[in-house]
Amino acid sequence: MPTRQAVRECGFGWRGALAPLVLLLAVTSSARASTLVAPHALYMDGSSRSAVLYLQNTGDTTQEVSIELEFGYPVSDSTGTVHVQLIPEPAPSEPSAADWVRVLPRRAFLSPGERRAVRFLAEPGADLEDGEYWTRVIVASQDIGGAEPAVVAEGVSAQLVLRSRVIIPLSYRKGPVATGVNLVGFEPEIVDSAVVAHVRMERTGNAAYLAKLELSLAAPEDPEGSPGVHWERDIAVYRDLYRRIELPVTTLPKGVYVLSLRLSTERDDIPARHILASAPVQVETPVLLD
Amino acid sequence: MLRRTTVLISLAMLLLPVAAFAVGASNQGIATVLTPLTVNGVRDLDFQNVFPGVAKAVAHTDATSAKWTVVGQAGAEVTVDFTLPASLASGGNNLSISFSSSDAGRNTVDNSAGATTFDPTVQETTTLEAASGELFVWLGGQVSPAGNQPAGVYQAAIIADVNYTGN
Repeated sequence: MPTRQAVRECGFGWRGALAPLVLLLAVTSSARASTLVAPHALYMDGSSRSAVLYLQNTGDTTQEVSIELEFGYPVSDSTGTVHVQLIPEPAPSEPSAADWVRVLPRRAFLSPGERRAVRFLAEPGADLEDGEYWTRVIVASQDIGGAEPAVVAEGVSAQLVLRSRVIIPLSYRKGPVATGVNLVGFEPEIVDSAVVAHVRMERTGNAAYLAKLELSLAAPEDPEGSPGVHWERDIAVYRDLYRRIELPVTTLPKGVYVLSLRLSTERDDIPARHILASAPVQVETPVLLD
Repeated sequence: MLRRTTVLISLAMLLLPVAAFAVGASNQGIATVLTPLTVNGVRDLDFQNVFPGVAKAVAHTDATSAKWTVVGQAGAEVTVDFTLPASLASGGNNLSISFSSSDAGRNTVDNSAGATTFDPTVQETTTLEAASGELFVWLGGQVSPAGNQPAGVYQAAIIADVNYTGN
């Protein structure tokens, strides 16, 4: 089973002379319609202009798989919930790569167990400004070899057939790109038996801020020895993001605590060569539990 | 000239040997373990036989509900989004279908009875299980055959989108 720790990059010797050996984690399944997509995010840049996505039919019937591109990125609502909105016809001012990334092939039939590499080739115009451009890769699959429903001689039968779409991000970087974040709000609130942290962030630079958000609640007089409460989550700030994080504190004794927030680009799910590093942001504020 | 170069590059890419899937083939060079995302369509939403004039509901906890499993990066946030039909078709005839705000369920273990219900008409945001990276999703619904519903096998498609948010 994949874990964050499973994502590793190891260099041995002369990196440039050896092609990457890609290992796909095996997923066994008895499902009749099943498509594996790897990796879960694609990165391209002005020098290579290409990326590869691997597909595998892990089900036991033939799958028809098609790949489309559509502009979109995650946004948060007033409750701090993140949604991904797909925008079929983005405004010209949007940093969309959907129109100029080619997909080869766009459609394939995969027999049970069959694997296929899908290649992405960026063909932006020569006047494309430096910066990061986004699209979502939509991998749609449907079973074309499943059993037909039994035909009833007299009467009515009803069945809804499943289709699946796996959607992952693709980023294309041209020229100098940089990222960072402004912490525009960090407000703790006591709600019932939890500390709720309201975290509001705005991206800086010209590329998405892909980072890790860590929250710790600890007693100031004994920050090392106190177990406190710790929470961490990957975040993706494409423009701005609001997160509402609830830390349960039922096991903590009453008293004054320090709520610490740290934002860093130390992501272990992104290959090191694709990480855009920026200086960590760290703040803290007192919290009274009574 | 640029166009020809592009075509040649494209052809060359197509002819490149695919080194993928050679699990354990070598411990030299650069090894990158790619975290996959798998969506399994386990079973269709099956109302089986229905009677004209009699509505029939399948709950998300029923054995004939639609079921998907998702396996990906442990703890990653995903959105689940359905494209739902308004009717099923058999030849030129239609059969209406509806979905209530509690017809969908999700759980990080394979237990529909303990699932968190959600509205299948609204995008749902959740996280894959912190250790296994698994998510189970179920969907029910209700068909309402007319009193004079013609006999036939009525079908439609449900599309489930699973989208990595990066959060």
